[in-house]
Amino acid sequence: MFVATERITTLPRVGDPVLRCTGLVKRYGERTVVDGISFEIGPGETYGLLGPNGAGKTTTISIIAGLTAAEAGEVTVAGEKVDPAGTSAKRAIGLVPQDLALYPDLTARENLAFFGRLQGLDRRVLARRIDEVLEVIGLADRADERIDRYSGGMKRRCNIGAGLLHEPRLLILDEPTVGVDPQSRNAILESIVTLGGQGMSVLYTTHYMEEAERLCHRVGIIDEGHLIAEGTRRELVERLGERTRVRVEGSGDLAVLATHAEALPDVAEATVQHGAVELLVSDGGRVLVPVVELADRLGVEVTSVEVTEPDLEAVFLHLTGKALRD
Amino acid sequence: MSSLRAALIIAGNDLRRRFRDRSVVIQGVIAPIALAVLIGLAFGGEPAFEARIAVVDLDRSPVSEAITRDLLDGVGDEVPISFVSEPDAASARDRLDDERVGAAIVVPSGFSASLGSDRPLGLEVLVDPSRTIDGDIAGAVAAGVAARLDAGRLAVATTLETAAVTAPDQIDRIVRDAAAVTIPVEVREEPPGGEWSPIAYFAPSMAMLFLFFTVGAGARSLLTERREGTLTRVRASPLRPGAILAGKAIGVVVLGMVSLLTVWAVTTVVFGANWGDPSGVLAVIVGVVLAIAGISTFVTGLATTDAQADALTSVVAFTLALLGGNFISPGALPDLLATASLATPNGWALRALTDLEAGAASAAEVVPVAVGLAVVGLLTGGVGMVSSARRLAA
Repeated sequence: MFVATERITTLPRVGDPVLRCTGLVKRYGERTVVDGISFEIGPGETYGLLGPNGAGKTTTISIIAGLTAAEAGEVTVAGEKVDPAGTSAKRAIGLVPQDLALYPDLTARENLAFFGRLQGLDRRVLARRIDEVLEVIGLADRADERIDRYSGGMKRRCNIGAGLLHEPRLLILDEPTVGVDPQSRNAILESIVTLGGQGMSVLYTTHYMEEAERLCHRVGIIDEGHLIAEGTRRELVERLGERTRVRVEGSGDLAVLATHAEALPDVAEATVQHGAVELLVSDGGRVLVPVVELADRLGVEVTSVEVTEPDLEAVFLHLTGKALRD
Repeated sequence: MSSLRAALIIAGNDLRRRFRDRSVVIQGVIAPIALAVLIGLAFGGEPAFEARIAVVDLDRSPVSEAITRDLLDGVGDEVPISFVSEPDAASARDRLDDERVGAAIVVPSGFSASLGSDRPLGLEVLVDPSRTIDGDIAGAVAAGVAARLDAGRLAVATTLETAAVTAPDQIDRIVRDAAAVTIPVEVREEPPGGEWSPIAYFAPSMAMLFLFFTVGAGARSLLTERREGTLTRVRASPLRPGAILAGKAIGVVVLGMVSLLTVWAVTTVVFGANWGDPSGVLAVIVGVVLAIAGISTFVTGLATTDAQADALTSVVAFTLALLGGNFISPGALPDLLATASLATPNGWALRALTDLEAGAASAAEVVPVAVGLAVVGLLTGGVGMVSSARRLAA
């Protein structure tokens, strides 16, 4: 499991959005699976689209990638309107579908060459890009092996590579780490961070909250076809009033410590639970020093302090009433 | 990038994958040739059919004896017809019942004497209703004999009329001479224009059957790619939907052409088969490949999964092959199937190729067949592609 220690903060918006979705609607029969979804992604921004199964994520991605026509609304990528029958906007999009989209009987190099040619890359540029992409996804030394001889993680990396060949302005990653071993998963996430750093905008869907927290500048939470919340992790957490939890373990009169700690600024609540003082605070960083000093004054010997930041999982649960993997 | 270039890239990828998968070589080349050789060996290059006909002489006159003797002498080793003598009609019927003969020719009592009258007796032909071909042959032989006798009667009558012969001994001599005149009844098995070669017939025949599967797999690749997920990425590329379908169609047609052309080349070079005028053969091959590619695309358009398309293709392929006569040598088709075969594109193609092989048709004469086949292919393929395009859009 990843720890949320590398969270990226809000990216300053520079220039026009690379992706702009406005009022997207899609129905299958009587069922409206996408209902008025609107959001934007700026240049170099990584945007996470979170939602339980059946929330409408994949349909939204299909509309954005030009695979499905929306019944209402509009998508523009790099200023070009996306249309399933059109071609210009698709040049700016790199799609990494949830299911592997590779020919198992071709080598990684052959797969990349085919999809690169479909993107219109000329022979020389394509040869260079294939080598570069193989380096990025860490498959340069196994490039001439057939895909069906790869491990699941290697296939996933190659699947991502095929979406990067033409250096798209917008990379769409639909649950790219499903079924991947931890090592490959880490490599995939690292490469996505790198791509974001190079100025590529990324639309990322995942079931793994820690991935969204690690990678995404902003997150949109989608449920039953609606975008029900959007913002940075901090914005979402603050909007819901979620607080940081600080657990102080030690020996001495913990009840007295809890009573005095509750009077400190930033502390909303202090209780003794299971041999430790549990504090709910608005800013974990600012409250640590005063609490340790207070414990020292009250003769409580502190043996450990644990800070748990409020996470998107809690936000998601709060907003949708269900866990992300439901 | 132009749609044509995109289509060629897709077709090239399909072909590379199909040829890398050796099943296409087995299905498209090895299996049809192997089956053609096996069927050819089963036929041994000779017709499997033989008619056996009984001859009964109830007249026992010099004329009837001459007729039966001629028939029993046989019509030649190369012709699969033989005659056996039976003493009377009852024993001939017994032989028919035992299926030891397929028909019988009976010279009735008083036959010879009746020839001089105004109402001569006819030869009787006994047939087993279940063996119509034997009956037809016996009837034809009897008709030939009757024609010969008519010629003799006409010759005598003309001589008597014009030479004013009245002496009984002269008349008797003329009649005897006329009876001795033999107009040979010749039965020869000869396809129009040349020899029939089993390998040259069954190789294209089997190749057409397998074409449904090799070409069908290409047509189904759209469904297969959808199942495997690659279609999503192809569709996300900056291509028009028509380019994807055109790429698939080009791959399918090239695959079919390579398959049939290879079968043609191998059977010609290795087995010495002569398919006939190359330009005519090429025209028919192009036509039949387009027809089968079109039908396969149409069938694929009806299916929602590649497994479903597989099953439908098998049903269509074997039905058309059975109706079209792909499993039976030419001429051995029952009347109903012979008619039905003309309602199938593979039946047209086989008929055209057989005619070319036998030299009974020129290249120019099979061009309308090739064009007809191409039209069938374009129509069925067009409908199939529209259906697939709708599915893609959905």
